[in-house]
Amino acid sequence: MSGRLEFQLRNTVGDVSVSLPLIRRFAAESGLAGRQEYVLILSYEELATNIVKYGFDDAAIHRIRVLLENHSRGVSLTLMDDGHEFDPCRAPVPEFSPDPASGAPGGAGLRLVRKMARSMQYSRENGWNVVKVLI
Amino acid sequence: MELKVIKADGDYTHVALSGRLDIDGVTSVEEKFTNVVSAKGKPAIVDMTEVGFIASLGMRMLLTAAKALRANGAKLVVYNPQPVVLEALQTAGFAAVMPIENDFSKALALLQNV
Repeated sequence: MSGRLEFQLRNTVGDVSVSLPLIRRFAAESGLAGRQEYVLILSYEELATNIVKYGFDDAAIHRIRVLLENHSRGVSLTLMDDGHEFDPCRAPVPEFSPDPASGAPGGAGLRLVRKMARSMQYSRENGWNVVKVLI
Repeated sequence: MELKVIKADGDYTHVALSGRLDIDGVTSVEEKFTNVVSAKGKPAIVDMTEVGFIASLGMRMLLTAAKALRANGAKLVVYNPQPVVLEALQTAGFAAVMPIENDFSKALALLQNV
């Protein structure tokens, strides 16, 4: 089955939360189950949350564009934001430390997406970050 | 997202999580989880049998508790995660602080070996 879903959210954690059911419904309608469904939802939650929390240098409301496509090569997730330039494919993520004194595991979400998705591509286009994840 | 407290008295804490550990799931359960698991400072078994999804926010909740217990000389063992949750936990590399075990008696034994 082929399909496409496009929507926008504001740069708030609340909007990421509210939009999660859209991703779950798209996964169900695309026939994704098990690991593929998991990786799609994980990729969306991690990348969208990352953009919301760290992507913008001002306090203004920004629109984040989301495109989900189910095509012959599989399911892809594309996120577009007009925040500062940030390449999640290359950004350094610190190694996890078991030391109890160390803080929260920064970058854990990005590390997970990089390792569990089939591929992730980044480009900077006309002031927009464009990240495409193939599930 | 639900947190069921199976055992809070005695030598160890035993809780069971069920649902999705996504943004909403963590928000709804984190305070109770911290109060039941971290605050007591006792070794803990966290039953993940009924958890169908976990993202980094959920892992951070588990990890924060595991580190708090570790500082107290106690251990947190993750019990029986579903295959995809297990893969994510292993991929994140958290097994060094949070051992994962699918056999309950072995999970209990792990709590003794700090």
